[in-house]
Amino acid sequence: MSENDTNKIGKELVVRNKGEVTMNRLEFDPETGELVVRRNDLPMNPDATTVDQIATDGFAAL
Amino acid sequence: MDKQRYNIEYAILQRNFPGRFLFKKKGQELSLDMGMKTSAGKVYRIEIRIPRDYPASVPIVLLNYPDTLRTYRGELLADISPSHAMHTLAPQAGVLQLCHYKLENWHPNVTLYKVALKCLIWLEAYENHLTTGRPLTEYLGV
Repeated sequence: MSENDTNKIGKELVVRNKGEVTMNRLEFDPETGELVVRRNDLPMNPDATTVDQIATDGFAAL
Repeated sequence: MDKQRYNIEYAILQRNFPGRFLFKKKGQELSLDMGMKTSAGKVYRIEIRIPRDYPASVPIVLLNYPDTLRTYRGELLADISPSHAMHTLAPQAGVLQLCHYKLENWHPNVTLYKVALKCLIWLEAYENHLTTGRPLTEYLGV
């Protein structure tokens, strides 16, 4: 929980927005109620939700 | 929203946002208040206004706390909204309205939980904007 984590999430969002490949996934952790960046090769917390798809399927635009 | 759908929505939120949400009914109007926390530890409160024909129609999302958000340059975000670059819609009675699902990506299987996640992503993008000055479109797409 830090500015560093914020930067990591921001970098992951930019990478996804550019359509580039990333070694990480974005997860929502219900225990903390926060988004986190985790390496793809690490096992997923069974309670977590991967939000990669939600992040990349677009946001409403004017 | 019918009772069956409400029960599904409630169960999903209870599992993923325990103690951080509250459905409110005012007359015929139903809304969902949610407390959200970003990875930097900042706290926000959003209000999801649920249309009567939900889930056929897309809910609108307002940011109720903090009262105001500012851009990297110090402008009030509500003052420059609607903004394509910042992914905001026209404010409702001065309250900031966040963009979330595109109409073409909306379908009745999308839950309020997913709308909330979309808003959490928006908030993370906003906090990155505050440090980098980059528009939200760089994080969330155009």
